[in-house]
Amino acid sequence: MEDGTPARPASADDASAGREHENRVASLFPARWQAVRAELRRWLAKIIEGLSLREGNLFLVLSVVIGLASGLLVVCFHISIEWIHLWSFGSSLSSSPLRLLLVPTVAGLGIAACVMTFFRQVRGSGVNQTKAAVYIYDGYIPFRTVIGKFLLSALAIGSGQSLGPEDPSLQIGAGLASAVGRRLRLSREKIRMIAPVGAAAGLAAAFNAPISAMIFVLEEVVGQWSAGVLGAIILAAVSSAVVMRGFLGSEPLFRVPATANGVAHPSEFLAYGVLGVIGGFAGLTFTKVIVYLRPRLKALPRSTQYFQPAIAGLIIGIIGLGFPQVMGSGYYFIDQAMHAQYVWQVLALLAVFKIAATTVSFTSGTPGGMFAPTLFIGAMIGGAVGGVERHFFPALTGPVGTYALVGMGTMFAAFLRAPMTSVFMILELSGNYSIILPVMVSNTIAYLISRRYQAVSLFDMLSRQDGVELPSIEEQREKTAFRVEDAMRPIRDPVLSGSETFRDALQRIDQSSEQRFLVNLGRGVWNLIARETIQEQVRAGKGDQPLNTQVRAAPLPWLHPDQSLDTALRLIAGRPSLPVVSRAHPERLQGVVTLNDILDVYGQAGTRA
Amino acid sequence: MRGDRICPKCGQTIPRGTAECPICARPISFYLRRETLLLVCFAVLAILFTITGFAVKLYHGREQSLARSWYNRGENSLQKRDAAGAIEDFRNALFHEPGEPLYQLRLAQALTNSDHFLEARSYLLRLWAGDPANGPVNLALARLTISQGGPPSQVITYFQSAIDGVWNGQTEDRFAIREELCEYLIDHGERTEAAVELAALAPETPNNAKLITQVGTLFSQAQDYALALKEFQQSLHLNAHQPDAWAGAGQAAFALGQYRAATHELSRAVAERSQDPDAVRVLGLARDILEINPFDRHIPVQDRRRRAFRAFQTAMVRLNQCAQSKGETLGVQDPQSKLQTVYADALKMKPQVQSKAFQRNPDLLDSEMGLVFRIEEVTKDECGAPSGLDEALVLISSKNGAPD
Repeated sequence: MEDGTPARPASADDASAGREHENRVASLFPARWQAVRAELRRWLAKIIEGLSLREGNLFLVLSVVIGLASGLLVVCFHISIEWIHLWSFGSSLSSSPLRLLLVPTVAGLGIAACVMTFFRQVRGSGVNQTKAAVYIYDGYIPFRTVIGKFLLSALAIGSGQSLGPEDPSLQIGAGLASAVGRRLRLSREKIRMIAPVGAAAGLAAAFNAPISAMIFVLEEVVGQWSAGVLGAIILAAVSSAVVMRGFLGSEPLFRVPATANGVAHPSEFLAYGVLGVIGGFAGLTFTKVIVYLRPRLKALPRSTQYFQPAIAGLIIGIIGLGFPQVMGSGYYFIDQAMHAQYVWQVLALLAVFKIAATTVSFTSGTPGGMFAPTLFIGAMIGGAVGGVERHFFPALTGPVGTYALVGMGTMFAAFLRAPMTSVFMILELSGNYSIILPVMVSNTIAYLISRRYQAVSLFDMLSRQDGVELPSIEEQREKTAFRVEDAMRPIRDPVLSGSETFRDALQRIDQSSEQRFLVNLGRGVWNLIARETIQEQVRAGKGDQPLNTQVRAAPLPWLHPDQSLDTALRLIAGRPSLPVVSRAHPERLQGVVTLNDILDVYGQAGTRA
Repeated sequence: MRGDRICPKCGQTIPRGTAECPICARPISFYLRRETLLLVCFAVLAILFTITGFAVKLYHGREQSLARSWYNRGENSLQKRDAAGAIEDFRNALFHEPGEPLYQLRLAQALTNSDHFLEARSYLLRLWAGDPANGPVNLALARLTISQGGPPSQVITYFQSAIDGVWNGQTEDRFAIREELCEYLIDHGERTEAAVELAALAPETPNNAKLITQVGTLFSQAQDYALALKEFQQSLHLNAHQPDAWAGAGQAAFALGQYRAATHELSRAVAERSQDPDAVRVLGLARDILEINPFDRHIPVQDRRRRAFRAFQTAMVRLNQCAQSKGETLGVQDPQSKLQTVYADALKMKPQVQSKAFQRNPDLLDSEMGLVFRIEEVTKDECGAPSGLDEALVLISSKNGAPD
């Protein structure tokens, strides 16, 4: 992201270059051929005219194109990982010890060399890089990043580094979208918006779960449910998921056992609570270790960065001698854990070793994602908790698969701090609504523990370590929204009526020090009248005329107490104050708000922060 | 006049004094128009689709071939009774083709054979959820439920679903499953259910002597001896050189009280070297019954009397031996025990048995044999199961003296 630059505009001599090219072609071909060519061009022009779209519509069409293209790229990415794994480790699940040690080490050397030489910006996860593109670089992601991410992440994951393909897929999609947007000369606003669209498409294809991908991108990358981008994200995510399913089948990444549904006994919620606590602390530990180790490894001399991925690979290879399951993305082993293949002791050990393996892989700067390892660790922890409970309370325990499934969501909530995505992801993957209560119980506990002991989320910490201050979506989400009721003041000055005469009004405002007064013109119409105006009218002998003869035009906008202060700020411009009225009875005044009142509220909030 | 601004379209700075962005306002070549580029995007997309399709085809082909090769290895391991090796091979096959139901099923079956019930159940239930009418999956679930000691109702449901399920036209399998279900029902004492299933099984049985013999055996186990005998006879009609069928037929005939037929069939079984350990014993018993049964309609009155007398003597010997073994004195004035009571009755009966009145009064035969049966029952209760002629008498008693 440090290499990111603003969008490069089109070449200055495009038009003249085109003319020169035509002249050159004309000199090369006979007249008949030129006639045919002209005819073809006429037809092409007709087709292109038919394609002429306004930018908003073009953006939606592009969302589908980006979705399809991202889906295709992610399919190729997936196949590349599988091929590399096959070539590296053979077709058996259990490889020879020599391969387990050599492959990730040698691949690590190659990856480091490529990262240091050609693709410096592909280090680590793609989520922050996409976020940086949206918030800092106007949606610009160099296409070289897409190529680097594709090749090096495939090599890393295929050679057994403990990382996942989802974050790279997200960045591949975002990078592709950015390139297409720039090439089609979209406006800056649209280019900025198109990167998340591509990100959602990439993630949807990688996860084979479009709803989760959309929610994650809205929750973590965009940070708001903006109507402008929502439709495009949906189109892109669905298109890419369709492509993925068309080519690689509709099977999810891991097959959820048919037994994984709901709770066997209400007391099982206690077990899910325990799972939430364990998952929360596991996520916390995982975050703390990464946050501690990453800057220290990065601070080592530059020459060591050529070897860090190789050393990480060697460590993972050593772990892989005993627990080969921790190598690579590990989806197949999540599947096996959910089908009760392992006893709880093995599951617990797998969770611990996966945390260690992923930490060294990620902090060494190897490109790859954190989603799959998070799900793996969660599944193992969940399975272990389910296994322990089954051991001690066999009659009360549901299938281990349910615990593994809930564990995945729990870890997702605790480590990646995306609580909404964590719930929807489990629902989408399991296709089972009955699991929602355990998921919500466990995820909430894990999320709260993680928040309590680690104020800043992992993604925000990583960007801060890189010296980039990206907006914290989590903080935005939890920021207090000020309302009109926080700033409005009670009515102390007289409120005049439109039917009242100027003379009566003057008598009523005599005791007040204010210069402007609200006038109720009936049926929820309000306006202001100055003291000076009233006095002038009385002096001019119009004291017996009603006020509404003067204040009928250009009524004031009014506010309701629950509206945001941002709305009030927009409406109050150029006006001394605004009435705050009841929603049910717009003629009933509840208070008034002035610009100073609004600024006071923001000022106090700023002081507290 | 405006100051420096950023173009909202391309993001470049609009120089002071210029109304429009110099880059965006520049005429764009036909080839660089948005619409042209969009068309190019579609074309690139089409090419990308083709390339990806080709790559995916190659990938799937390779994965399928690897999966198939691991699957074959798993089948070989299973044939060599190497369940652990088979499990590993099937896992490898599933690693390459995770969604393949056949590999999942075979893995689940191998896991069941290795007592990994939870994992096997998990795989099978997932397969079942995807295809509840799948015969092999239902069968595997039935077997797994038996191995786990699950409720019979569930086992029966799975078996029934397996029988009615989709088997790709393998009728032989349906027969075997029903047979397995019958065995399960018989083992669990569900004889009525077993009889119903057997009634359905018999017409389905292929015209194969061995299979018909198996059905006959199941009928015997379900204690439906008449149908068992019919099946054995049908089987022997197809192939007379089946010692087990002869033995089965003999035992069924014996159970039906057809001792003469039983003797014939069991003799044949022994002659054909039947492996049935009971054949010789039951044959002996049948012969004893035929030798001592006074109710046999095919014998003259003299023989009847002679047999009754022999039965009486046999019962008396058994009574004395029983009393001796228990240390009881039989000849007492005031009989207290059951042995003493029947002995007293026997002493009263003895003169009549030995007199010529027996020939004049045939009802005496019933009285005498009634006493004989009572002696055998009492001695059986007091001294345990009899053998030899005594056992034959007990059997005649249980058949209520029914003639052959």
